[in-house]
Amino acid sequence: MPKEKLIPKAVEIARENVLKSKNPFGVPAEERYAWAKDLDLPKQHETIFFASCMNPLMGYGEALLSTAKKSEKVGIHFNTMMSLGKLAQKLKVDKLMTGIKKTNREYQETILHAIDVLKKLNVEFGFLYDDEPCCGGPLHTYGLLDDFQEHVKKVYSFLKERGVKRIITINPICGGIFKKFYPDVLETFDIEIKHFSEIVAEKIKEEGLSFKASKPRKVVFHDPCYLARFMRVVDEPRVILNSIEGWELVEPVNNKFDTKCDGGGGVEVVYPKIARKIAKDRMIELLDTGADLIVTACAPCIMMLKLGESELHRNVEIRDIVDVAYKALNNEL
Amino acid sequence: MFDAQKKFEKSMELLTKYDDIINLRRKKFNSYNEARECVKKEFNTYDLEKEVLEIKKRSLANIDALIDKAIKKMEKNHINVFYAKTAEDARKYALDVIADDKIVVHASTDLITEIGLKDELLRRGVDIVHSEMAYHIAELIDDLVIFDKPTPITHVPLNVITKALKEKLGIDVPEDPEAIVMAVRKELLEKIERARVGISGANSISAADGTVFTCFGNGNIAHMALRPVYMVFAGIEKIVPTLPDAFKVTYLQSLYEGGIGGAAYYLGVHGPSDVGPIGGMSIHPALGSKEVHVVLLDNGRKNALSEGFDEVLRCIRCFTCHHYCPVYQVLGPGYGYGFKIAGYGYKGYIGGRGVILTAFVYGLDKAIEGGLYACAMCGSCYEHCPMEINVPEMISRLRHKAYLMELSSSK
Repeated sequence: MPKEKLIPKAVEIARENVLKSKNPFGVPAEERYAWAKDLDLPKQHETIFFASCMNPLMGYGEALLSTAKKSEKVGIHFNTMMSLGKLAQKLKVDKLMTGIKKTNREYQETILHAIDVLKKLNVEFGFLYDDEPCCGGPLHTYGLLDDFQEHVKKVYSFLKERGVKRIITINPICGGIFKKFYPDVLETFDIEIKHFSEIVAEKIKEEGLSFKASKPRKVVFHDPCYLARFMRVVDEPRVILNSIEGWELVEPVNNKFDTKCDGGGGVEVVYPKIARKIAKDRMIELLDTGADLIVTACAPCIMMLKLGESELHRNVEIRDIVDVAYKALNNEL
Repeated sequence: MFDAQKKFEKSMELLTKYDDIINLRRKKFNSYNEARECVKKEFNTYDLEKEVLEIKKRSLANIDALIDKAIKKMEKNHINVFYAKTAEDARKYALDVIADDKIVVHASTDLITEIGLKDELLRRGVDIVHSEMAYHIAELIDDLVIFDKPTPITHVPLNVITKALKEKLGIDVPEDPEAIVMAVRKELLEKIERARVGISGANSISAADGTVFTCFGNGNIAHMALRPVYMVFAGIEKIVPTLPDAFKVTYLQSLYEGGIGGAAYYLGVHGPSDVGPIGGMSIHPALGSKEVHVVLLDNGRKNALSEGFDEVLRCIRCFTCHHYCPVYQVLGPGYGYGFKIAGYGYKGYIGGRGVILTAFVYGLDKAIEGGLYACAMCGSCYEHCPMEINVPEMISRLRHKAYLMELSSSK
């Protein structure tokens, strides 16, 4: 009998995928940046927009979690979840891949929206396209600390080579890893890290912008852990939401720095069953506010909240703050 | 699937089957948190928090000197003090004290599980009685999923309790909370009266004068301290320099646990009860215990200190972190115990901080079984911890240790 493993397989898979493919799903760069090939953003700029690996590939994440649930039902433990990206590609499981690609496109829309918003607000920035590094978050999460340290140094010197002084990201996980954990490894880390919502809120305040909603809605904001507790950003998303006339912003229990995780953060990969319960639990708190629109600012949060929603058999709109800002600026609310 | 996951999954079946318990936990925990915030304002605890944090940091930095001082002082106070390097040392000492007793009473302390004393006494057929009423009832109920550490049976319907009382103790009571408590009280007091040895843990110990502090709501620890033999188990991290320091630690814990603004009792025990000088002699006992034993336990704690995990030993057990933890909300004490939720046989400390301590006192493999990979790394515990214990950071370092261990074992 083979020797039982002490630690989850996800750890080794995450390591391999992050180090080799620059994303936790092990998807090659051609696919990861296919959506970006028509963008006309400069490849070199002091300020770069950081798309992260999550938004381009979240379809894989959703497929992993639903496959996990299905495999539990038929009594198979789906324990190589993170290999799915590679597996699906290798097997060319058409139906699965079509679903994944469709979901990927939905999340990729959000990236395009973010770029559009920043342009409309006259923010100047570049984009690294398929040179965009992985922040190395999964290495940190799963305790691959030697690899993480090495990775941090590599990423930092790459960014310095490209003359990057400021990063604007829509993914607070990458943002939090950069802002909170890079300086632990590199005391000299001097790249300014901003979340998309900080930039937009600043412009709204500077220019006194306000937007009109076509219908009144009750909106609740779910603070992503990494945005609130690691990036220390809690007011800015609310500035955006409060700038919309006709929308009422309500707060759930456990908001801002007290926000409650919805089951992402690595637990969803190792113990998907627990993560589903957590997602459901948080979803109840959000729905208890009576809101008909849930806004958050993190692709994995959206994935988990959708899961919580389906566990509760409820149907409520869940949006990224990026999409809200996009619609506000385009009078589509 | 990795080994620990199998066991964990098994326990999940039991733990997450009940959505109602998760819903109840959410409501209770949110209200505890709200109450704690009120307590902070009412008692203006912000300075006290800072003071206690400094006391804990200072104590852990000088732990060896404090242990020496506490031992010398306790000996002077006629306390039988025993420094146990390992769980086995502590267990042997305790078994010597207990000798051939057929009944032992104890208050809530994880240390009797940690050193394997409870298991050993059970094996020997000793009636080992939990003197905290809710746990006394909890231990009668088969396959119980504990609600929360301080309140284990909050979610249990009255008919389940009365059924257990009838089946296990032969007590017939109506489904009425007061009647249940009165009946259990009578049964428990009789048992306590029969026991020679009473056991408790400690919230803090003052090195300067050797006083052991506890706080409690049940009144049970007062009974333990009044048994002919009172035995205290304490991790070395409980020792702080002075009596005011020790009281501050215990006081802060009592203010934050459950957010009710303090405990019903605070007890400081300085030695066996004493009739002071008759015919020039000090006589023990007077009205209380004849012997007091204090077992100071290392059992891996010094390794935690030397490996840079001192934060884990700052904990004052206020449970704030549990009540903000998304994983604990779903799993309850199952997050840490891994499997076997109530009763005996669980190995480990609960919650994220507990999993870290488990790695040092039980071993890294037990920490993995308890849920080292269940932490969502959300940072909520760290955000709210009055002792600024950075749980996710230590979890990440322990995962690193586990990864290196796996690498070397697969070579």
